[in-house]
Amino acid sequence: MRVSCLMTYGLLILAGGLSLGPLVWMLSGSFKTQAELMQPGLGRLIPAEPTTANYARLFAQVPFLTYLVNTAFVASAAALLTTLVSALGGYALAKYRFRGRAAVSTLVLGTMLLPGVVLLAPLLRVTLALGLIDSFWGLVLPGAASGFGVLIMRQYLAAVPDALLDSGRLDGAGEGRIFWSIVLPLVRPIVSALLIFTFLGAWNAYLWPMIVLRDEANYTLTVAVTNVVAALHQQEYGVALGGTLVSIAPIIVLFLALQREFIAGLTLGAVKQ
Amino acid sequence: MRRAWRGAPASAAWWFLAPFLALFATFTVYPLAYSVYLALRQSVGPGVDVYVGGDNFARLLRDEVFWESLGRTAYFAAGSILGQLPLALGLALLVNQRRLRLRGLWRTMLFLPVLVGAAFIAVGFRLVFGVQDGVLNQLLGRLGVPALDWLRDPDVVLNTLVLTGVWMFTGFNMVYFLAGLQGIPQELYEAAAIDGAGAWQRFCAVTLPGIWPIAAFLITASTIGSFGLFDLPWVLTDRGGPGRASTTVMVYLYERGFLAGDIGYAAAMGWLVTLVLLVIALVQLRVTRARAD
Amino acid sequence: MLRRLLDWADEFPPGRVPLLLLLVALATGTVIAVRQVRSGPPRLTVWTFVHLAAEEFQQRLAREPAARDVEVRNLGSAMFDRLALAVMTRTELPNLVEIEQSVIGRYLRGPPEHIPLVDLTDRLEREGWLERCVPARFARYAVAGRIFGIPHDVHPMVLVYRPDVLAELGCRPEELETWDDWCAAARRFYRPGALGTRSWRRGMPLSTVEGYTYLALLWQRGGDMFDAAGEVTLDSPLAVDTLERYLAMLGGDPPAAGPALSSLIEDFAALSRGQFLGLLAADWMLAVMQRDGRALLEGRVRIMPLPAWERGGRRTSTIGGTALCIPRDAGSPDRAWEIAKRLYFDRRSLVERFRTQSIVPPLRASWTDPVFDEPAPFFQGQRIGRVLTQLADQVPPVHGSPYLAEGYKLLDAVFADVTAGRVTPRAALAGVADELRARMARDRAAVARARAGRAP
Repeated sequence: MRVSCLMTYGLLILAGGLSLGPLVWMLSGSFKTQAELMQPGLGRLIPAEPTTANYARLFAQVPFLTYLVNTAFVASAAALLTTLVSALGGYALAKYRFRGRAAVSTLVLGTMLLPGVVLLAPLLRVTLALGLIDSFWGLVLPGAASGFGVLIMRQYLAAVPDALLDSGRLDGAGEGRIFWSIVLPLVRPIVSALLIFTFLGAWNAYLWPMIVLRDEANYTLTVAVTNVVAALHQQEYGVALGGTLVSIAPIIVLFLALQREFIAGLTLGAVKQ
Repeated sequence: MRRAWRGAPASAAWWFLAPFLALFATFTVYPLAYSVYLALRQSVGPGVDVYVGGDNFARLLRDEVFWESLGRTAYFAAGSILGQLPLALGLALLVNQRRLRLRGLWRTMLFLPVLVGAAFIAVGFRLVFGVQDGVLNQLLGRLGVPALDWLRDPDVVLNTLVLTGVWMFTGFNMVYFLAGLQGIPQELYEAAAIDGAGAWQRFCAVTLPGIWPIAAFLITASTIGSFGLFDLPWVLTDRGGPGRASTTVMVYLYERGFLAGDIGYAAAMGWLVTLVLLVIALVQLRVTRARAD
Repeated sequence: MLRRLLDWADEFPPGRVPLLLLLVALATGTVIAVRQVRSGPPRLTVWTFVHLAAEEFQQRLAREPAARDVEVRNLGSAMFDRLALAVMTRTELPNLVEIEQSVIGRYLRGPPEHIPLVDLTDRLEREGWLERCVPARFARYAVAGRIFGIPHDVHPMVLVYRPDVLAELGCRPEELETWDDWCAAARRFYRPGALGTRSWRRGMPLSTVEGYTYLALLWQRGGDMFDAAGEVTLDSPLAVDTLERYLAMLGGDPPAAGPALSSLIEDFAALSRGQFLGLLAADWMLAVMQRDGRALLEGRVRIMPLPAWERGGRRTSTIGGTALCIPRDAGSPDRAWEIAKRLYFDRRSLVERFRTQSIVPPLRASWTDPVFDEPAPFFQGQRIGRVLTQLADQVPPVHGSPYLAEGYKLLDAVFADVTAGRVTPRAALAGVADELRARMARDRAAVARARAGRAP
């Protein structure tokens, strides 16, 4: 028992170390001077000459706060819109019988197989035609019709007992009110999970924002970190690392605060399957 | 008195569905149709755009580079599944132990890499993978293992991607397995123990079957995700390099479509890949359904 | 109070998380809405992808009161994708854009009337710029004799070496006039050892997976991937023989060269440890060396012209290059041309460009400036400017083609197989050349059909 206990913790420490290792290394690198980073060899975990100059450069010369605000807006708006649209759509598919229901479900399921890059060029034409280039709505709207979101909401909403809806109708409530006040509170876990999921995806999205956003003032963090930071400080690793960490940090904080909801919602779905 | 459910008016359903359908039609269905149109055409530069019928598809079938990139993507998908799932299951078993302390801490630590986007990884991991001075090679050197050129050796580069994928996604799979493990009733284990089954036999007889639905789901999700892989090979190994060594299908699609300018060819490629994915997904579905029975 | 707030939050039907996100969205959305300050009159935009270039342009334009409305933007490595999209959708085009030679091919495709860049040939001829610059540099940005970009640089290549290491071998740089001479010395210099250790010694790094170092040596010898007419010449006997000699450098017993490392910094570090005899370097790399390799190499290196392929032959080559182009659909081409001349032909900026980036400008008249005679302490007081400008006139022409980028990619794809011995040089180059010819033929057919379809 003792040995397996030791082994367990030993393995967990090893795995945890490998998981966090690169991140910690990047953190350490962001506090090193350029000279120390360019030293051949492994380098030290605690910098020989720790400096906050990289971060100072980052926030002074690069409008990082702007990018942070942009990304926060895009991610939260995308999360809210996608979840709302998915919840509404999933509700319709789950709780109503109408002609074409099967057709819609199949169509949605089928499109989920498509990798995003395939639709890139046509999607760009559409976005252009609608005047959404270089606009945050160009980032939020195309992803809002999420097949995954609709199907997962449908699965959860289907579990809500019909009796509740009926009693609502008997009380004279409209369909919308039933959805909002009666049904929605019952599926809070999955709503939260979907929100966080979409938020994460939007925060980390790279290809589409890179294509759609033109004005530097509108950049999101992924685009900014890979382009602006890499360009401005082409060989200044410390600043690039600092920028990367500042971009990851909010997500990590969010996750730590909302861990329970996220993981619970995510895995509830899997177990039900 | 129980009133029969007259059924809600179907029109309400359409109202609920409307936002989704509107967005879906605009941003998914229409581009889909348009890409079919594109797949039948060839463009040369911005001004020339001619109808070529099935020529793009014919050329695709003969295009060695395309099939090689498909093979690489399949290798990546298989490597990811084999690399991530057993590891994730192992970690889940470790974390799931009854008297484990600081369970939340372990779970958080192992899940954190999932939150880091591919674009951000590319910036930081150059430090890790440099051939002469990278962290990984330095550590390997201390262990007496010869150094590998992670980012530039064409034989190694694909494995670098798999390795990075393992780092990025094992935690995600682990969380799913954890939930699955927690869903297996204790009584099954106790019954097996009473029947005299050892730890390994309990694992095979109780854990594996209980985990199977989740594993099947993860395999399918991982496969689809691997085929759509673009960000990682693009940014980490510099646009699918060196040469073509890490060019997955999506990278090749982007190269031919956006960089060389033949959008039609890229569209045709996209459809062919979707077809391949469909076949794979169906096969997987068939297999998992058979196993479940 | 907090308790009441949380309770009220719980009343929100979807829950607390959506409420939190809603607040975030509203807050950031407000900040963004308030922030939207759109600049007034339409501006002339200049795009570049290098930070130092952006700085240089801004400083130059600051001296020009008439250019108050010109906006310089550095888009970094995403600029190429961004430009491709802008051209494809014909929106948000810059008035001037710096395009790298490996990418410009995309915009030179198709029939001339559809090339989205302004034809600059007449302006360059009329105003006499063609004679004033190194003529070889225009070839890359030209198609069928029409020039579409003003070259930014000459990029002569030199060999960076450590005089003390060379002296240990008993050689002097003046003696190493040909590649045969140099390889002989490199073979004596060689020590075996695995990558990742500190014991190996190799003559110089040559890429075993990408074709750019091979191409540099091919250009030095007078060969090229395309000729002036745009036909493929990569499978010529000269190209095949050069590749065979390239392989001989990498192989051989002992080898004269070794595989390239993962990054420039690693190359510098290896040179500083005495593991390389020399490094192939274009002029811009010297500035990078001074900036990033200061601790490693300051005062310990010198430069020398490349050893020639035959005695008395060309002693330099070139790698890379950028040109300033004017997108045709962006509007105001004449004004853009005036600004372009200010940016690329202004003597003070060019001198400053050499001082900060060690890039030799194509404008010959600027080479008389004293900055090119300054001794460089980093290079043991050597007058690197003089060495570079003397080589600049010899730089071989590299012919442009709409298929240049694809040629590079195809060559890279097969290069590792060649260096590993899985494919012969002749077969590999023939394969690349045939594939390029096939694509060219297919595109020509499509263009012909399009024209026929359009003819009344």
